[in-house]
Amino acid sequence: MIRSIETIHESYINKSHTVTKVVTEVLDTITSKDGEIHAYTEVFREQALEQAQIIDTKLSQGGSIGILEGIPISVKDAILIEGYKATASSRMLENYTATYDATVITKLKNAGAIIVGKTNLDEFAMGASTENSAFGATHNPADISRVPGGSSGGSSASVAADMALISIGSDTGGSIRQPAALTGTVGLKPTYGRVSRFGLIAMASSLDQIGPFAHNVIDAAHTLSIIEGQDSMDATSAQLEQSQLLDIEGIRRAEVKGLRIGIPKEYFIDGIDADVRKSLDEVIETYKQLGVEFVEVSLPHTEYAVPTYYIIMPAEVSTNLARFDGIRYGLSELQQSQDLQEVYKASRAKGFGNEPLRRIMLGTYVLSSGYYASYYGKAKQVQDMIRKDFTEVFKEVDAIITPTSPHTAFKIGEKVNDPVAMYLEDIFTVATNLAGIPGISVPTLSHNGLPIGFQLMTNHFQEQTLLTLANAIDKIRYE
Amino acid sequence: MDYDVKSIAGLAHINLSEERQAMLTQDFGNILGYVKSLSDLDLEAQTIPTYHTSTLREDIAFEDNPRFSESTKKAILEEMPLTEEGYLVVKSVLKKTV
Repeated sequence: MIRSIETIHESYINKSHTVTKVVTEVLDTITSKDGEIHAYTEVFREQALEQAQIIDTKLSQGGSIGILEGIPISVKDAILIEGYKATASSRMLENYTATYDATVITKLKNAGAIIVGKTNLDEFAMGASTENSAFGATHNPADISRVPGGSSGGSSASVAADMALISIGSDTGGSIRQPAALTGTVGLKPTYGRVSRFGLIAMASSLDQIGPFAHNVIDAAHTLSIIEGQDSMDATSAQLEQSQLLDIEGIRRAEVKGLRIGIPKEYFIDGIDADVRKSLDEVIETYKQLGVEFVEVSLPHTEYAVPTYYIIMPAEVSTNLARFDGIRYGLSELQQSQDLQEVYKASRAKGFGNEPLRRIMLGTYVLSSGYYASYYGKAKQVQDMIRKDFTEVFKEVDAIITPTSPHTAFKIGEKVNDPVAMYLEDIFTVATNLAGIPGISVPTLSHNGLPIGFQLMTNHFQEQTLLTLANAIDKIRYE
Repeated sequence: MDYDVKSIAGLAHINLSEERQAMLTQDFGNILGYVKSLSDLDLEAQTIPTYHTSTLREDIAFEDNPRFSESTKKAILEEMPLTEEGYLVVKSVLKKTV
């Protein structure tokens, strides 16, 4: 399997491969591997082959194609595709069919990408292991007794196991970057506002962001440049200034010599696995050889990031998930209930699994009268301080480096009954969402056994610098 | 930390089984214990609203939006648990008192 969309694109143009051949190879890989991995909730075999045929015909008639045209991609099942189920891996939406396309889907369709299926996730994107899916856990292709990370674990596994070239996921507290690290893929969470969330089943709206998984940084950059941009259907989406647009040739060619990366002292505490630390040190050493300067920086409110996140996020969850009430769509106990209140209560009890229930309840509590100021009010203040920590540091450095996860993929079942242990999976990733800045996880140059990722972060809308630095290591990995 | 998961479930409109009630009571203790570190933080800083880039537009309907087409309307109606002549059916909201 060719692991580069640019190489596949060239092979389509010079006729060494047909789109049908590449799509068939991906579909056959799904058939042979996905019984064991369970990355997909649904596969669109016939539609994908039909679309491949159309692009092959266009190519044979001398037509030109775009970079994503004919590329097999997968989509997290929390993003709507008109006419297809969108379950969010929840009983609540088990039989729900989307009535419109998410904006990212419209853009991907216009670009000619071939969506081969929908991928599994932790229910409503709540979790760090993809074990919380109502339809069964996804397994890590590197070791099927282990988790692929989460919540976009089906997406990360689909790319890692060559069951898609690209996947579209969402990241509220690390749900793209952590699964990327645990499966050896690249995962990019763009700046809040860079990509429209219209058509993403909302979890915590002030933190949610859509982004790509890929085999390499350049593929992720191509995908971002297709899906980004302001959208009238998402009022928080931002108009990009000329200087903020991606220049992919620039990412490929730019020198990183003279750029400055900060190492936040608060992140390098006890609890990082020796293997993770060793792989990261090798990356840092390689950057130094490329002329990158390293400075120790301080993000003083780091220890408060996870507690802050676990107040703000559930508060927004309890609000967003209030819409699932058995009245308009989704699971409904209407027929079995005596009155309106019972329709709500019975439908919600039956539709939500334990983790959404936990977060709805926590959110309801922290927003309730008498507790609002001491929990939610305070967390919003701390969020502001966390954001200021970053903007101060970015006056001194171009980027920040950390591990993506303190350890490699853990065993299925190991943490599933301990919510706090699972919440700590987000320890290196949540601050990025709280600050609204972009972050990327890139595989390290080497690892002993299971995949390891490192994380880079830059200031708001500085994806060009983020991807340039990420690609500097990534291209060495591929050499 | 005083919390009563049963009354919170009432606010959240969710029926709780005894099993889930026991699970949540334990989880709440652990999670609230964990997030409690925030209360140690002495905050002088002023809270400013999150920096969301939000845009305003004229308050006019997108008349030509395909999302408001008859076929979309039909698809939305099909997702509803119960409809009658193109309307959503709900349980009665008002109760007769006499």
